[in-house]
Amino acid sequence: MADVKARGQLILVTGLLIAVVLIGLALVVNGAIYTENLSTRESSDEPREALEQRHVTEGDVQSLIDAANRNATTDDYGMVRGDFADGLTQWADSQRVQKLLTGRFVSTGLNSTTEGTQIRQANASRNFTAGGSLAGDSDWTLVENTTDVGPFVLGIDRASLLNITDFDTLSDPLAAVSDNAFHVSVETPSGTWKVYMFRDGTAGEVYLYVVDPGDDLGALSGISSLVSNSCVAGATGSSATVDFREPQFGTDATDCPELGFYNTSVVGADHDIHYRNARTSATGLGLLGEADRARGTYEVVVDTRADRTPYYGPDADASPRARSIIHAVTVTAAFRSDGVVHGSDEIEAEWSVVQ
Amino acid sequence: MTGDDRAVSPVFSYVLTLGITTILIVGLLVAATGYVDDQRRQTTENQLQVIGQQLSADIAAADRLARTDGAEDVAIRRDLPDRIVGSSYSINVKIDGNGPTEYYLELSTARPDVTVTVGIASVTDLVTTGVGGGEVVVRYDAAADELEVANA
Repeated sequence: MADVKARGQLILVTGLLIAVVLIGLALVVNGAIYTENLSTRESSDEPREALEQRHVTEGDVQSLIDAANRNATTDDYGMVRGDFADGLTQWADSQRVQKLLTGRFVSTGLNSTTEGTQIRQANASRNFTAGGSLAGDSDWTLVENTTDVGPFVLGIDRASLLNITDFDTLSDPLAAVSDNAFHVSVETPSGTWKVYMFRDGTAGEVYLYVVDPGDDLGALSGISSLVSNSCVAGATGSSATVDFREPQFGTDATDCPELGFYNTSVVGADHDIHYRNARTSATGLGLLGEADRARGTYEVVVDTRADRTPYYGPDADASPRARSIIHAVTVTAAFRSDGVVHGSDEIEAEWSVVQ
Repeated sequence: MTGDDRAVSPVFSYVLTLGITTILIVGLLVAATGYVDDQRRQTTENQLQVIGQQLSADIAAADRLARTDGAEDVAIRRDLPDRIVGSSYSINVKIDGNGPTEYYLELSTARPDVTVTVGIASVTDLVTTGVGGGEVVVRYDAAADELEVANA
């Protein structure tokens, strides 16, 4: 009987051990199934939604800036800003309601706005002298203390530029160019760039020459050196375009690397923009008389409030005129969902014209 | 024709039967235990890999959100299992040059002794911390410009 008891215990212990092994196996299989389940779950879309909402906010805020600037009929920044703020509030409310339907919370609020000025001369037959109470001034300041500039484009009547034909007969032709050719002077704390424009009446070509800070037009060897170091626009068309931001020059606006200084060294720095020699009276130089040295159109958008003294306005057809616009805006935005929180205190949008 | 005719005593017969049975059962148990252990290790490794990749994806998403202009408040929450195959585990963010990327995740369990590393695609720096399973949050510290993985 003793042997029978011993065999029963063995079977019992064995059964217990097999049960333990089976439990372990069940645990492993369960873990494996759970892993499969976990690995095949789709990644959450919520981070993507948060980024999408941010892009939507940037785009729509820019559209609101565009609408406010487009609809502004007076040179009154308070009104432009007020229209924009009203539009933003309506937009933010509609977004909040729409997103709540899908279990997301979004909010958008105005943080800051930057006043800018759109300076424009639309009358192509007018010279580049100042307007307003400085009407007729040949040397004048368009804007002071601007940093970020949007479009800066001049459309110049080629025939109005200083004609340098036969200047070699003068005793100091480069001084005549320096004193009489229309130029844009860009003044920064680190120096002043001067962008001269003139033409060769015989060849029909127009030229753009940039004097860098510290350089002097008079240091060149002569007119031929001046011409050979200039951007040249061929003898076609009646007007030449000068685009500081692209940077391009000519009837067909081809690349002009000399103008590249504006993007690389000026934008982002505090600077002033002046027009010089818009109309000169070069007495003593037989070849020259009093005449316009530049006529045409121009537009520049700056990120500051320009002094209104040299401008007419605010009528749309006044030339030159300046009007207040919203240059840039920053808004706060928040996105919240079950798994994602994304808050930004400074989403920036600019007027699309500026970009 | 009795048992005596075979020249085998009953005692010997019992011992023989018990011996063979014991050897068979021990063999079966050893083989089954080894199999279960191997499977457990492999399953643990797979699950750590999956968890690591999911957390790494969350860190990458948080990085993208944190790098947007003006981002100040970013958090991504994920529910991870408390235990895997019956064992607790730990997740460590490391930067010691031994991982597949600069910052990487090291996930490990003590029993079985399994360690898995998963790379992290993040431009933003991370705080080198360790967390356990459960609810995990990837948070952005705007002041320090760092991402931190923490238990919620």
